[in-house]
Amino acid sequence: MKTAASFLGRGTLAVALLVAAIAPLGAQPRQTWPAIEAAARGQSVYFNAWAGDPAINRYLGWAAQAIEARYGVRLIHVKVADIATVVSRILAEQAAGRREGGSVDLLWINGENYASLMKAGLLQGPWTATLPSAAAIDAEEPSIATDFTLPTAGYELAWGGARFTLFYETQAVPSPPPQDPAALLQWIAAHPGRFTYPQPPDFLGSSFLKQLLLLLTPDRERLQRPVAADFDRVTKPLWAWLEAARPRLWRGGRVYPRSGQEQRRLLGDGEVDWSLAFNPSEANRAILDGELPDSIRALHFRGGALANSHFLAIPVNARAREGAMVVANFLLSPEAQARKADEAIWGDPTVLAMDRLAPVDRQRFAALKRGPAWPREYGPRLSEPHPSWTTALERAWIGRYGAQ
Amino acid sequence: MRALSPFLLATISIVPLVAGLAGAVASGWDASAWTALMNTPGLWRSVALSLWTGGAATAISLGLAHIAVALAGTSGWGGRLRGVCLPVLASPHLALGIGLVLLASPSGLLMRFVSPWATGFERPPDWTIVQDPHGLALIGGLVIKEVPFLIVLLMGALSQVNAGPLMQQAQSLGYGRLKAWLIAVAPLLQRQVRFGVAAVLVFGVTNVEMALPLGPTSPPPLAIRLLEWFTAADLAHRPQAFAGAWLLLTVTMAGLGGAYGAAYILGGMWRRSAFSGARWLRDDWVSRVTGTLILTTLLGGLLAIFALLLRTSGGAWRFPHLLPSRMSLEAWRNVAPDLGASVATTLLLGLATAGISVVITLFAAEALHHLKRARRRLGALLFIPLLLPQMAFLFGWQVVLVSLRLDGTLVAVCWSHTLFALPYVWATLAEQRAALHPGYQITAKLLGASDLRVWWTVTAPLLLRSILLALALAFSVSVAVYLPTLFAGGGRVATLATEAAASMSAGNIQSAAANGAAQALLPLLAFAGSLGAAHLLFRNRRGVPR
Amino acid sequence: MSALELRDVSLAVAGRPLVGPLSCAVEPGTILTISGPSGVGKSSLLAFLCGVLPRSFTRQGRVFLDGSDVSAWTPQARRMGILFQDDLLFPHLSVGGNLAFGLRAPLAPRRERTRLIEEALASMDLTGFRERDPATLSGGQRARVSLLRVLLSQPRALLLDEPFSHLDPDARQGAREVVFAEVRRRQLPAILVTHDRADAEAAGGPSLELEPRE
Repeated sequence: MKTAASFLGRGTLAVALLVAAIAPLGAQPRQTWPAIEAAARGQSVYFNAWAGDPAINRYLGWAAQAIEARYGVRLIHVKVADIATVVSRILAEQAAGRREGGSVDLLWINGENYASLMKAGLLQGPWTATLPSAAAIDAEEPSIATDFTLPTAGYELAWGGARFTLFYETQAVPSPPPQDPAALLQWIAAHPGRFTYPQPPDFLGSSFLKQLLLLLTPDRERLQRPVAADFDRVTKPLWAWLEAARPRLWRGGRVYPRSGQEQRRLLGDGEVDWSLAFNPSEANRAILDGELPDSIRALHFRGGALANSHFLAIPVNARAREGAMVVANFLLSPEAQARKADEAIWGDPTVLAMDRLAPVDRQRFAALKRGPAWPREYGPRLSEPHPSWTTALERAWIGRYGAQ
Repeated sequence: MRALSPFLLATISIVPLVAGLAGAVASGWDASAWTALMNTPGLWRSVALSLWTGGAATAISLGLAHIAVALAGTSGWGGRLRGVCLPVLASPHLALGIGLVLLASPSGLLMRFVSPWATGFERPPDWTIVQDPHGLALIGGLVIKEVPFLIVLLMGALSQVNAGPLMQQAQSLGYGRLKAWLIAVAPLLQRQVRFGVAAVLVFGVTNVEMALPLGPTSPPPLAIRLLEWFTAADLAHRPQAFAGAWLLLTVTMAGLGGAYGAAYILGGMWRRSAFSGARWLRDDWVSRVTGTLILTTLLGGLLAIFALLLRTSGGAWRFPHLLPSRMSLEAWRNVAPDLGASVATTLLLGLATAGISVVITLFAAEALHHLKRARRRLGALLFIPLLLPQMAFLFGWQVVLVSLRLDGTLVAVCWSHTLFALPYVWATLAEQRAALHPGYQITAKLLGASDLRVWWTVTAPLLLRSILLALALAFSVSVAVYLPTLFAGGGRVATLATEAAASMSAGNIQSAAANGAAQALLPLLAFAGSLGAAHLLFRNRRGVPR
Repeated sequence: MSALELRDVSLAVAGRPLVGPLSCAVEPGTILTISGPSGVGKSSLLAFLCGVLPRSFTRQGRVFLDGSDVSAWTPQARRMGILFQDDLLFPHLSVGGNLAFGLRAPLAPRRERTRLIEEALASMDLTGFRERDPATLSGGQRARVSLLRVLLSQPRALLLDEPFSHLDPDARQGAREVVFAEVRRRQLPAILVTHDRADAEAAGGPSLELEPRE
């Protein structure tokens, strides 16, 4: 009896050990963070990120140096004019059967680009929970848990926040400035040729449409669900506003700036009196750089500002997966986030929750200085509509004004 | 090597063409692509815009160039005319286009010159000058660039026609200068320059380099649309882009056919005018007007480059100040690091393209120096890429490169650049080599020099000026091309051209100006160097061919 | 034994016979004059002799120079000299540079070569012309430099393709005398292609008339 029991006991133990030994060969290995850091050392991470803003490029240059020094990972900023082209390259690589050794390790995306990659199953994940820095994020917060109403589900890591902001020239706009679409329309009517917005499908232009729609439509909740046959009914007030504004816009509404950056230049040159941005610090940074005069101020719409986050994601065929995770972890550290939020450097709002930070880290953010062009009134946050609304609005706008 | 070199040249040229067209067929030849294409709003307006801007620009440029050469080219002013054309000729289309935006837009340099003292404007007026919906700005930009090119082309053809005596004959019969030119000389040149003019027309209809900064945006010309579709994130647009490339090819062929028809009709009008006996003696006003127009276009080109340099400073440039607020080195900080990398890549590609195309062409010119028909055929073959819309084969070429895993490599980009440089290099070198008196080589051989020594000590020095010019031309072509770099490089090779275009699309005018300025300066330096060297070398030897 | 001999030489181009079959011999110091209408193949014959006849021609027959069959030799090896209608002085080299081109290597120091060049120039009344640009010389002077260049390469035969026709009449006489004198002095076999009867008479050697083939 005793021998049988001990035999069974030893046998069970043996089987258990055997199973424990074999199991990792079959299942997805659950790496610990130190193992990931070790594997990442020596890797080169190709980070495809929008390069339209030299300040962002310089910030990433700083990050690359810090990451190389601390983790031995080489961060290469692949400068991209439009992240959509990178998405198409990843899709093309998949179509060509390149399942490994892809050319993109880390992506800066959100919105419809995220949607296309998720739909094609081309993003790695879930991986965000593995990062130590992710502890400081409130993962339940809607602007972090969802990207244009689609769940991020650990496939995307929030990197920074955005709020739709308008900048204006105080020499042309009386105080108090217009703070809702109706007042803006009145100002436009009284000052022909001094207002415009970037041409959709530029994301800022499309966002302007969404911002107006959110404030003008009677049925805001409807926008959280996909587009359907009631598109015309829901968007009627938007087109009415645009039609009323169009003849009084810059260039009579026949030509539009190509991007927010171009419109900022128009503002600086004195061709228009308004500019739009998603980064509330943008005007302050431009004033510091000498790009804009210091008579510029900022505002959010009183009814609510369109808010979203932008994210980091890793493609499924990335070569340097661990390196990408190490980079993401660094970019989410309080040190990197505080530097990012510094107006003199970039000014991109942070995604870290202040109450989850240690006091010394909280102090980093408290110490940041704000220039005069900081929107004084913080209205409520309005979530992004479902991505199908963006595409539908763009198409409708192009149909009306894009091809005359 | 010598015997193979003509085939090598032909291969360099044909493989991308054939592969590209094959790739385009494979990817775009299905019903859904065509339906999507046809359903695009404003498609036919885009097509009309392309034909209108290309055709009008070519016609105007040709007319102005003819008049310019008629009035100045046949007299002693010829050399000066050519020299004046050179700076604008050497500047790439894209750089010039960006510069013209900075010059001509309501907040541009011209308006700043005259405001507020002449115009009373304290703020830029709300006029649509650039990117106007009728394409007039685009036509203007194309004219500014093509007039010098056509002038140089006509003058090149002129040297093969005995223009001086013919003009004198006609004038002694009582005809004014212009009519004399029209009757006696122009028809002779027609045959020589028709391919060059065709290339100008094709470029006008299918270009993106000028259309991006200056052309209408809603809707844009067809080529811009195709570029947007092909580089869009949504791959669903790709088959449509391929189908559109075929449409563009058809439109171009239609344009060429229309030009042929126009030439036929003009021929009829010419005959009637030539035999009418009308003397056109009072054509002074024409020469004055045209002279002013041409000087204006040339001046415009130069000012455009100047405007580029001014705008590289990042500071606010509040209207109506003449200079940007911060013209310090600080202002360069935003663009300097990227600019350095782009300049390096552009230089590398430019030098490689120049070296490869000139070396192989020299071998081929040597191999074919006594075979006139073969030379003509090879020249025609090499010229084909200039007669096709670039997009028609570049799309497919990229697909082929991707499948060969060669996309994004400098080799692929260099190949694509060489493809476009070869027509110019061949035209510069082949006939010059063939025109060398064979007696020189024979004498040298009989004096005991080996074949290599003959080439090095006799042929090459006699060709040296042409070689220098060919090097400068190939280098400039490489610096200027945009679409070949974009497609063969898979968007990953950053030259001054791609960076300038990307910045322009993004609305980052400072970066666009910086890249554009560098892009404009490089060919100028190359030509200055080449012409300077050519001038210095053998300056004490009057007998060396120029 | 004759210095320059042609045996059964015939040339055809594009299937059409051009010259021959032709057999003749030229003694050292004598000048064979070949005449005939334009296009009959005189220059092609000379090209064949030099070894620079284009491949498009079909050729038969052999060429002997000083007893050796040079028919398959490269132009460089044949040691024949040629003078054309145009003096073909290399425009990018000075007069001295042109002359130096012909000097056979290996020759020792530059001083030696310069000496030879100066001697040659002096022999033709061209002292001091060494650094001159050939384009600045008169037609007669250039013809003399061209002759010197050929002679400095120590040819074993001399071919003359209407070398005097571009000279004006006064220079022509002088040039003829100089060239023919050198031929006789160095005892070179020479072939002269010409239209000019005066040339033929001054040559004083055998003559050959080529007739066009039907």
